[in-house]
Amino acid sequence: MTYLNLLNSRNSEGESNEVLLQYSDERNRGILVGSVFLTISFLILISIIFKGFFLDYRKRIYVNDVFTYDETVIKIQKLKKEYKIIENDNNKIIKSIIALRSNLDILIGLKQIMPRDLYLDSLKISGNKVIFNGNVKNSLGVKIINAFKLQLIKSPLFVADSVNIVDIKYEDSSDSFIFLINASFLEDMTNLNLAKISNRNNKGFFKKLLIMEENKLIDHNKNSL
Amino acid sequence: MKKSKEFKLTPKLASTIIPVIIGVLCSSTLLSLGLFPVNNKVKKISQELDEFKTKSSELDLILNNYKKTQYELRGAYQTQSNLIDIIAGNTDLKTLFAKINALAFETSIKIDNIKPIKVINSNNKEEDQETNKSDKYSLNNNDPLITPNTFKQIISIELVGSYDNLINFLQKIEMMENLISINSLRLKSSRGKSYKEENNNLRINLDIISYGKTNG
Repeated sequence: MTYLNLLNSRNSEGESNEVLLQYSDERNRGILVGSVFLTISFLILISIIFKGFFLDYRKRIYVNDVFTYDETVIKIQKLKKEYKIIENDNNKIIKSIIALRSNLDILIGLKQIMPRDLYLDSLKISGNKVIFNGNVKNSLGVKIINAFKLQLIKSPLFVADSVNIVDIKYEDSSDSFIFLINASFLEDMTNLNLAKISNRNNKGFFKKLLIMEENKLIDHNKNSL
Repeated sequence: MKKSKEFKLTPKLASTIIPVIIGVLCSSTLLSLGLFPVNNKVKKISQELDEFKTKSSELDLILNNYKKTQYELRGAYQTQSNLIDIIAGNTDLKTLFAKINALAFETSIKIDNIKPIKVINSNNKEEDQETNKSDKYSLNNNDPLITPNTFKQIISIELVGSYDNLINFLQKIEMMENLISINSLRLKSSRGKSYKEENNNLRINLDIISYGKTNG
């Protein structure tokens, strides 16, 4: 192969003719080193891609399990939500049953606390309010009426502060003291009712509470106020 | 002797360095453009795999948990059903009047008047509460005992009888299968005598609240 030396004129000026030489060995070495770098990077990339494929393949093995898992978790959440609502409703029902007032118990209780000479002409129970209207045929009428008031205050059925004597009048025609007493029942009879369940001889409403207790529907610790 | 090292980019050196630099540049570009995104994706897949493995190993636990929750829910429904039985019993409220009449007869109480006031169910309880705020029977319509399966019936009864017979009557009423509560009670001595006296007849007005099961 013949080369045309275009720089021949510069040879006389001491210019090296090195530029005219071929460095194919050095160039090949450089290409080899460069290729090594490139190959290493490429291999790293390929290995990572393969690793990704391998992990993805392994991931697919668990897909069914994971699908079942996720579906089950959602179902559990739904069931728990439903359970909470039902449980909440049940607790409300239980609480309102336990808080109910047994009118039978009230009438029996009243009969027990009424003093001997005191008679009721009328008794009005409306919601929680009670109005006692009665008479006492006794010279100690006022004392007896007051004793009745104290018994009402002591009774666990009534709010102590709500028991008030509204009026006491002496009536000549019947020779008796006529009185009017207002009182309020406890809004929530839970504690009283819970205490009475233990008495197995109780009847009426308490029998129902006893059935509830036997069916483990009443938890004394949870339901007491 | 002092040697000074001078870097000279000779054509010989350049023949080696330039392909090396090109290789390094290409590999750097490949790594920066390809490796990092791919590596991030692989990391993500690896994390997902770990998560999948954990979920797979916990699957039995979750399935047991599901069964347990189902069992608890069934228990809660069973409790509700028991409570509804306690509130409303199993007998039809249509026979309530007949039962009250029979109980009154048993306890020597005379029924003067008996009339149904209203029926409140879960559909009309809110509506009823809104429209009849002044109505004395609507005061406690926000009653948890009114469920989609139960309804509440208010009945007004006028009775005549003695105090002891009234107690027997109330006892029998409270022992009925349906939960019965008394919203209001008015006793009045009917002959001008007080009701503690033996054989004295009282006039008794009761507003009875009873609960029944809705059909279906």
